[in-house]
Amino acid sequence: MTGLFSVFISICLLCIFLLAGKILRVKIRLFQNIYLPSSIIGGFIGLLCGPFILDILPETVTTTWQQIPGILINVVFATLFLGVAIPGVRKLWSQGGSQLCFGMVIGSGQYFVGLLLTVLILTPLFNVPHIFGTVLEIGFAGGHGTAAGMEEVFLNLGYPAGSALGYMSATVGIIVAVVGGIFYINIAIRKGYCRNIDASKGIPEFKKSGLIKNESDRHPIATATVASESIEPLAFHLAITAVAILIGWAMLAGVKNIHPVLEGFPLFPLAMIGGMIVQVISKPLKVDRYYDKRSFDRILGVSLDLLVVAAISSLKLDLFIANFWPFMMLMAAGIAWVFFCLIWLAPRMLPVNWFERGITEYGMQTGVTAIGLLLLRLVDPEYKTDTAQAFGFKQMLYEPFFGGGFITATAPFIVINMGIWWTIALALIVITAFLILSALNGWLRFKPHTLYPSKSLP
Amino acid sequence: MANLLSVFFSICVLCVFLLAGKVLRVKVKLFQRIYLPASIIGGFLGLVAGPFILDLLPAEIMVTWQQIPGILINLVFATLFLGVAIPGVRMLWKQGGSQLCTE
Repeated sequence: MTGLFSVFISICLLCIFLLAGKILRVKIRLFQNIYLPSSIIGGFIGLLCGPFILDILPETVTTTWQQIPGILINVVFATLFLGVAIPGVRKLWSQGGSQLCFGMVIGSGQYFVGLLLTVLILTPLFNVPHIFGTVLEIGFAGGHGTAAGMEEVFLNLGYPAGSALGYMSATVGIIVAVVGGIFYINIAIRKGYCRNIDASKGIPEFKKSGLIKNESDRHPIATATVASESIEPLAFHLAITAVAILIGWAMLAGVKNIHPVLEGFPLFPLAMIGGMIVQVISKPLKVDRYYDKRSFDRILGVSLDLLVVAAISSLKLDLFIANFWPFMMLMAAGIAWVFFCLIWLAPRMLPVNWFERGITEYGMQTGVTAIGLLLLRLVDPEYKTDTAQAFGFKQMLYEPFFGGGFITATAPFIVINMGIWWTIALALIVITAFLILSALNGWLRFKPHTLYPSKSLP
Repeated sequence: MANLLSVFFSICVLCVFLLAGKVLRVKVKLFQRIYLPASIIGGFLGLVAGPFILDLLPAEIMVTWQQIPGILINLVFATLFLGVAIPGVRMLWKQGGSQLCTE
């Protein structure tokens, strides 16, 4: 059998492109200044070598690469909640509630804006199908992983361009998140919006090149909770992740039985639920104490890095170019929406530390969670505000729905089966509901909360 | 071309056997006394479930599993000297020479 061996060599080659991306990140200032991850750079090198441009990669390699993102996204989502103690709903709500309402408005707004633009302008003008509008949320609130997971959904619904556009949308999202985020942070510092900013300190150099030169800046990437003579700690965590995925797989069989419409439902949101189930049943079994969050983070990180290189490398460039102008208009609308939320809505929906919380949310909603936290690091270097925790709690209630959760997974089905206007109405209802919820809790006000925080308070 | 999704599924099942091995290592005193690694226990569980005894595992899983050791061994050996500064031959000989001769 040569099957698996050729897969193995293809994955080795994929890693070389990731490494090439890292070298360019270290060598090229521009990439450092926009914090472009090595995986994205490596992905574009792969795209350059791929069938649409230089065509120097063997076909066995490209066919393997095409399948990788859709598989690894299940690993990413399975590990998302593993190793995290899930707190009570009351605590989640009191600490992360205002952030959740804000996030839900931005997330469903991406559907509202994207679909409304599609039905009013893009479909009449460029003849794109209605599900084109869902690409905005998949790429912005979601990311490359979500686009990978949605590939099968789009194929099933007869719109193969969907995932290619999703990947590009995610790439645009990441660049806008970092460039726009840093740009606005500079304005905010001058205006005095930030509570704890120490402008003189700046960003540590190692964050830019991504090489940690000083011994003192280095840190262990995980902690052993099982002895490696009995089982390799990383293999143990990998095995727990596999259990979560298999639980998701079993649930997928159930979901497909509910209704034929759900035949193409993706595995990854269910793998996330599988992870939650594993976490919950591990507590009474007293095995959750052996789960090391950072070990799961490593598994997630490796999967995501390889996923992004493979996803961008196997981007269907022809499908992207064919949709270039409607895509650019969709991106422009999306960017306008997230900036409106950051500049106008955040100070009205976030009672404390609106800027720190708003910029984190903006980074996540446009790029990915890691970029949200990177932007937070810039304005709150030691996490002195409660933003990191509030954001973490919000993610627990948010991720099951948007950015690759159930709403993301079902939105294209809803657009196809109920029609675009119903979907727009649904998005509007969700936005209104969370605005009302926010107002009832005294978080949403028409007049902004204090724009300029007093520096003394924590 | 191998269907990658079926490979992925087979590897997930493989991990479950490894985990089952770990559970037995934690629960069975004998295995602890002889320090039997979870991977070996899990391997024997797989053997029992495999085609020669209980025959519970689908053929696609077995086909994948058969190919895995020959592939992963390359990773094992590739990493063996990575991250280790390789000392000069003189030092290697002085410190490890007697051990080398007994092998």
